[in-house]
Amino acid sequence: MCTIDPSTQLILEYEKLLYKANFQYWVNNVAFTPRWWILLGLLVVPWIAWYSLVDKKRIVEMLVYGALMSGIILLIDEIGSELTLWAYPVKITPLFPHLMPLNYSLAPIIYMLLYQYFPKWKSFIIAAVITSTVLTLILLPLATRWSFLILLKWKYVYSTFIFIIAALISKLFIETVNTIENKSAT
Amino acid sequence: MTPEQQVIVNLQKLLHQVRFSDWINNDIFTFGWWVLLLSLIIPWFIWYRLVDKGRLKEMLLYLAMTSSIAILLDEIGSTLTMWVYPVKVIPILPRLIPANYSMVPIIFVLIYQYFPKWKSFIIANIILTFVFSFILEPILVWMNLYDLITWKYIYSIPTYLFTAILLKWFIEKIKLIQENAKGFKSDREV
Repeated sequence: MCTIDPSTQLILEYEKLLYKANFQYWVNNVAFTPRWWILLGLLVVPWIAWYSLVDKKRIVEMLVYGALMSGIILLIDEIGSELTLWAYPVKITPLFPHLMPLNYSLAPIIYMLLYQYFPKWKSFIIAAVITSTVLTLILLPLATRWSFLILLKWKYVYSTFIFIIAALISKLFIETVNTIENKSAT
Repeated sequence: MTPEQQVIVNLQKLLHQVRFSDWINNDIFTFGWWVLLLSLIIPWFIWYRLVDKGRLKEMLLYLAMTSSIAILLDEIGSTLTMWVYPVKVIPILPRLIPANYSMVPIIFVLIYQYFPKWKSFIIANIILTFVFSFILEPILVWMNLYDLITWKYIYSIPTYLFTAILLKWFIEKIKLIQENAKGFKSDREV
């Protein structure tokens, strides 16, 4: 069909091997184990809780904030997994390299609620610092202890800074968007 | 770490080494690489000029959702080696980032903005998916930026179309929830 250059062919062979290894590991050690069910629960349950807590009058704004937060965390996770800075032994599916419950559910939801409950910058910063510290210096080490996470070339405190900065950038971004929108509406 | 986990980590390391040396030796600063870089950046400038700024948040939500679905589907297809991208903008993100982070969501969101009625929205998206699947994707293959392994162009058509329709339905639902919540409150205040 189409011609593939040799170096791309080599990459392709490694990708196939990696997927085979990931899939084998997942089928033999992960699928439907208690840990797998915990991850699935962490992906689904927070969304149900979010829906009852979210300010529905500002649901579009909240979702934009959550999407941005999720996008930043996802990007960092993708880069870290590619560079083997960390690895996830337990995955919901072997199709994604990331820790799905954190990127698609826990992190965006927790920070969306912070954004909603702390509209003032000062209280938001304090809340973001406390939450990020708890998440990355208590929750992530527990995830390691329960073998959901293996740190290879990474320190928890790097994650603390990333989470804080991501939360602040997302708030700054959405406030700018609000300003632009209000200006053009009047 | 168990031996099986070590195997996976080692394979991932090897894969990244191969990707990185391929990128240094064959990708960076080539014609195809510049095309990818520009198609990542330029659409954002065009979009910012065209977007309805009075509905910026709604547009951003549609854009972000399209982008995340594109990223998700690209990740699945690449992991299953249904396709591969010989040229990468940066080797730490091995997927087609100009499509996922720029071209696809921006074109989709402009259609969402310009065709508010369902009928015209669906027609516009049908035309767009044909352009994507039978013109743009073959051009990418011809330029050696995209190789199909087990995928066929025609499979992309229902994927694009389903995504666009699902997201419009979703955003309209969300807007309805927001309007209802606002209306409910003002009724109470009166």
